[in-house]
Amino acid sequence: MNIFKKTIVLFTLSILFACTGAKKSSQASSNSDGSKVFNIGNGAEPSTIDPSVATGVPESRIITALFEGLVSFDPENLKTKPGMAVSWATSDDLKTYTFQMRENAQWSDGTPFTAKDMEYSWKRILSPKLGSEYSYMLFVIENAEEYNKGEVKDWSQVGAKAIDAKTFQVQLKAPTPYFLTLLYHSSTWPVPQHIVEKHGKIDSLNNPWVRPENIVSNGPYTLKNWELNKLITVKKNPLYWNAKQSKIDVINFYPVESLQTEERMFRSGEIHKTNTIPAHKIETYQSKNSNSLHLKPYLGTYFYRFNVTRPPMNNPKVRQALSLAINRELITKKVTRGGEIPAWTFVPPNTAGYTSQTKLSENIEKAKALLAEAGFQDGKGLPTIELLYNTQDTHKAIAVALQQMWKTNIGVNVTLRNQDWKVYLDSQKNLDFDLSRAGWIGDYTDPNTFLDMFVSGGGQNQTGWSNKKYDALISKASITADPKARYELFQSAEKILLTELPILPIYTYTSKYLISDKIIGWKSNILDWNLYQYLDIKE
Amino acid sequence: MWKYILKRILEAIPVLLIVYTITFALLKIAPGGPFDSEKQVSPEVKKALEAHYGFDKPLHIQYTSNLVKALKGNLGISTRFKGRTVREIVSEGLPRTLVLGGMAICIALFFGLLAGVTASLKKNTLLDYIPMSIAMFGICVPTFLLGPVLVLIFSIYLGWLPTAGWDASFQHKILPAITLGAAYAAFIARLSRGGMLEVLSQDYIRTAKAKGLSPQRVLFKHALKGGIFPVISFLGPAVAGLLAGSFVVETIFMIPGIGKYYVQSALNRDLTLTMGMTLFLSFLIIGFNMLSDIFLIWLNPKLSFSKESK
Repeated sequence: MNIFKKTIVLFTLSILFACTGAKKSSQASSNSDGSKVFNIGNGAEPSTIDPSVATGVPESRIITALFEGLVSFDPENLKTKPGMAVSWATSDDLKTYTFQMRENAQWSDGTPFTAKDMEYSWKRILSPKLGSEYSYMLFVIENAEEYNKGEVKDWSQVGAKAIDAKTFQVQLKAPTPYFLTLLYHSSTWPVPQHIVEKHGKIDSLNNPWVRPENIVSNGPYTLKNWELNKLITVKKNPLYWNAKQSKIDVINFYPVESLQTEERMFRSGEIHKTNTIPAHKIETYQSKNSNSLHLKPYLGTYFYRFNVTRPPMNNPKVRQALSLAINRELITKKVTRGGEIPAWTFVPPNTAGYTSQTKLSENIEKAKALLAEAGFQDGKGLPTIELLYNTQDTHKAIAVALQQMWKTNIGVNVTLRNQDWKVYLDSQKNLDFDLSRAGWIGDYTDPNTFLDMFVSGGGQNQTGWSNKKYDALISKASITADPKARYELFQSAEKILLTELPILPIYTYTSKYLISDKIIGWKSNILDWNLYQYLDIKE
Repeated sequence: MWKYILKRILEAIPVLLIVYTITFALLKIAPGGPFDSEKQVSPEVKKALEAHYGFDKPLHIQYTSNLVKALKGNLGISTRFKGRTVREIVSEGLPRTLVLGGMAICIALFFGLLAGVTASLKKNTLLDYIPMSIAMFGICVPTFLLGPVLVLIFSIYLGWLPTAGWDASFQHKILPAITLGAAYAAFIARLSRGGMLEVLSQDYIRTAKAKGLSPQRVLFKHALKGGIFPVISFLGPAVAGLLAGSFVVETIFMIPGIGKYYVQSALNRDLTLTMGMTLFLSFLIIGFNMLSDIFLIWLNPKLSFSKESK
């Protein structure tokens, strides 16, 4: 039996030697050649990095490194700055924008960047056959929606033209005060025609032009390496017009899906920034007074949808009662604990300077009275209400808390039903619920991205609610040039929304993640959108 | 033996066809599709997206054309990973899962057999109780507990190893391999102990000892062959499961293998990738069961291929 003991000892020794003999290969802030490296936990493997096709946040973080749009923005205050266009002029009727393209702008392979690239890119995203999920971002443009739906077949009728190599002109359907902020969104950013068409057609979805061996970009970084589900590496693009601004040489995006693994990687120094943070860890970092914890308001609302097509949610008094009978602060302080803000409105406060004057409130007595008026004194006679949510710990915890509040405060019984993501989406779309958990992140900083969800029959509505006055207000706002008058229309619209309550706002999102204090220049804004060329790393 | 193998291969074909059909049907029936998302897409956009993958064609056409393509080795393009073929995704991830699984098996076999055989030879002593208790522990402790604990100790507190990730270095592989192998080591320990105890009580072992053969010779030449029978039966499906990838271990350690594709592709309604993974896994299970049966027959002189073929 000596053999066995000897073997065990030998084996364990060799493993220990292998572990300790070599130094831990943790990714430091600088490579051995002194180049600065930023390691990011990106949350998931991107579905694609094609700006016209991508939809998710992990995708947009990588696209932000590789590409740049017509305009850029200041990450501190989200004010518009020149991007691929150095200047622009608006017509008197505010419907025509003429952009002057930057001199000497190039793609990363040296090909000149011209206005024709912009026109091609918008033609691409609006191509009916491509199936871009963000084509609607450009629907403010003349005939864009019609072209996308195949109703207009001739591209020259669409209001996006390269007048010459240096001039790009856009014709809008109506004055759109937030038009430039729409262009912050990466779906409107340019793609290289000469590369796209080398590897496929303008509207082929699975075009391999984005592979590392093919791709060419116009932003501060170029794609160096893409190993599926392992790592995406970008390196500084010397041909970017503002290359001297970029201090970081290399950025590594790790598609870490497990929240716990990501937090451990941050703790060991393997990544400088995480995608998010496990809820129970927030307190830990707060108690350590850590500089790493980032909890800031985010342009999104967590809410529940009511199915107003069937009892009991078809009765607005019942819906109002449910809204009055909960304690939002308890949810944000004790359940989500991520610095979220109780939502008294649907549009997050101070969205581009807009805050709804109509506000929700909490009042158990009033809730009881409304319920009684609806014929359900103390909740008696009320059919059991089912609350649908997609399977996830936080949604469950919130649902359980609200279930408890409704039972205790107004005697209303709510049962919980959770479904896997795709099934839940299907149920919600088919109005197979009484109450359904939901969330909405704004595409751009303007109240419209929140309020136009609930027009009659709108794809994002999914409540069955329809109000002609509301529709008219939203419609009028979309053609109103004067910002003040426009916001007045939104005030009236949101008043209707918050009175009839087809939805139950609960809290405003926060962006929450860990970021090392080695990273210099990281800004907080409500889009949680930073530009890598303005960052640096402390050694 | 070759007749036997051919028979098993022929039997596998209808099985794979049934697997394909059921998987196809389930994916088409399940609510929710690959293009459903929180931001609803318009019907026009959905139609355009479906056209790229042939999902707009009638179901029976999709069924047959996908089958024909699969037979030619074309498993289609993933909807979740745009532009990537299923073959490419699986062939990139497979070597990593194989290496991880292989290391886990080696660890499991080494420690499992060591513990189990020692325990059987030193029955009812400390050298029996301790390995078997550890084995019980290994069976009960789930990977999602063992993994993070190992990471906390060896990566965060001691700083010897990385917390996650995968590359050519040994350091990235050792913790995931131990995490994955631990439960299997525990099973192997208990199975081999049981198998060995049975063999050691047999007459022919007593004969060998009476003849004066050394303990090592009795063990390695005679007892072990019979004693590890239960382990080999267990190994067949276990290896298939290991090699198909451990979803949990690959998630904990951020390993870009194929383990998580199997679960995630179904949740994403990624029809092509789910189908590819299901067929691949079926192929593996059938293959490893066959190999394990062949190995058993080869080991046991009482069995024969011709008998098994009938």
